[in-house]
Amino acid sequence: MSSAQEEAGGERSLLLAYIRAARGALAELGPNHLRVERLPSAANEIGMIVETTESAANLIMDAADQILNLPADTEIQAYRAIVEEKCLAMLEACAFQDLTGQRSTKVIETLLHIEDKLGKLAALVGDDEEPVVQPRDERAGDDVLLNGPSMPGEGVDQDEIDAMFA
Amino acid sequence: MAVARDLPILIVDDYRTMLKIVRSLLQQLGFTNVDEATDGQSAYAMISGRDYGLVISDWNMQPMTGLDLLKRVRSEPKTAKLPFIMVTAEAKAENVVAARQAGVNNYIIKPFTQAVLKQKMSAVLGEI
Repeated sequence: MSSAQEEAGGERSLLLAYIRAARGALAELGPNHLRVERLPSAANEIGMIVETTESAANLIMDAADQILNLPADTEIQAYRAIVEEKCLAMLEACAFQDLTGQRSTKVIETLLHIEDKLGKLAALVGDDEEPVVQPRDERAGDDVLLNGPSMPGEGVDQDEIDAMFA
Repeated sequence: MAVARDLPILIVDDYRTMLKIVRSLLQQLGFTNVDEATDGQSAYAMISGRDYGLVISDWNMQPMTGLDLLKRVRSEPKTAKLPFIMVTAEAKAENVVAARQAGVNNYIIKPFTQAVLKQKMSAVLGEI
């Protein structure tokens, strides 16, 4: 066997080993498991968070409305009993924070799982440098202004807005 | 002169919970003549059919956003001067600038209190 053939054989072995490792990393990522189970489950959790918070907000608002709209001539003992009952209902409804917190934790776990597996895959294929170019925002016109609630420290507060209207 | 408590007000938000909150806050301020819409398109249809004294609108809605609604309202001679307050979670300076350029009368960041709503309504309509 010539030295050129030996060199080619060595390179082929390296390439095969690389492909096997990449396949292993992809298998560990479990794309089908993610697609069929974890991502739909995370989407369901988020849907439940929206539903739970809406339900709790409605319950709290209804209780507050009922207190605010009690007739002015309500006898004091009856007034107290209704206020206590409605306040208790509001306190109970605030349990949504616990429920949504737990659901959020599940979603965060899924995201961390994906981040971990993608990090390993990126390292294997040599894509482990910080991206230099940010993904391009494909939106145009007024659509670029829609970004939802700001994170703490971003955006302007009501006082700054008031100053712009002064 | 105090603002008439029977002033017709249209509130626009795609979250029914927010509609309920704003309606309740307005009710506590004495305003009970309140209509609701859940997107810009239906809001515009309602504005075309009734003389509202104030529109309080969210921004981030589909298919027509609050900003699109504002621009459309300002483009019609009949509604060009209709008082319009944006109530939104969009809190970037460029959002406020864009809304101002489109002719919004005031801008409230979510979450907000009844005191803030009353203050901004007073700034737009006169003392409440």
